[in-house]
Amino acid sequence: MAKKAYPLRIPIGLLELAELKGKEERTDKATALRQWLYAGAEEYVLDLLSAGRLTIARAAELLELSTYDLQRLAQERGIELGATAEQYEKARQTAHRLGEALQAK
Amino acid sequence: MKMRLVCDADGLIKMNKAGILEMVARHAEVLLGPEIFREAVEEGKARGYPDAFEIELVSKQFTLKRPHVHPQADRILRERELGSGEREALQLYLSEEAEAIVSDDQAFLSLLEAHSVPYLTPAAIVVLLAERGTLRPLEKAYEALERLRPLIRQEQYRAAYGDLREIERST
Repeated sequence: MAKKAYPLRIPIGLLELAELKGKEERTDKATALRQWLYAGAEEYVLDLLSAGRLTIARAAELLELSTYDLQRLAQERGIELGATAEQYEKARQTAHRLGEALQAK
Repeated sequence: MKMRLVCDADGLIKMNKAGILEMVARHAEVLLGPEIFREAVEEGKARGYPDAFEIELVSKQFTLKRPHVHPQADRILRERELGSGEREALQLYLSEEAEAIVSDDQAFLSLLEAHSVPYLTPAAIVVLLAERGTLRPLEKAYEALERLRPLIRQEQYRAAYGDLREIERST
């Protein structure tokens, strides 16, 4: 993922926690902070997907994940994604129209 | 004459999960572009998802096309930020004059609906195949829907299940 430096004021308590996590996981404070950022971004993206405000392919691009990863994450967290019942009904109407057109041919 | 359907990666993955992808490829011309193939097959394989290998096998029956830039698609695409596979699906639908786009993505379907682009969801295809007698005995359609269940909204599952029961009653 392309990275960019960004100035950020971080509460001291969070920095101390990040340092602790870094020590426990044999990594560094910056990595611990980035992991939290990713975790938060994933959760936010799944909320947007579930609300139909973002598409799965775009979400995958933003997080550098695959469509499969996002479907799996949603499943693991019990978040429902996909067409609504209303969209399903529209799809059924399309299916009927296409079926009739094929028969007419 | 076969129906021409453009699929996005989400639609392909879910049709494969339902076990109907090969059947759909036999009864319709499935169109997809390199970005959709990358999302559904190459990325999935790179991350070890078995479904991606299965889709690759069936993909020999698909028509792979690089879409032309279509002016109407450009106008639609200015309205919402889509992923590259979804952009490609819309471009393909318009440039190849396909009958519909197969997807189960709520946001993508909303955009298609706003522009009167016909779409099908994998659950609607399961019911269509059952209705046309292609997916028989009917238990196979119920099984396909059950396989889809963890990946789709429960409200869509219930609607499709109700339609299968309706078909069962009428036969």
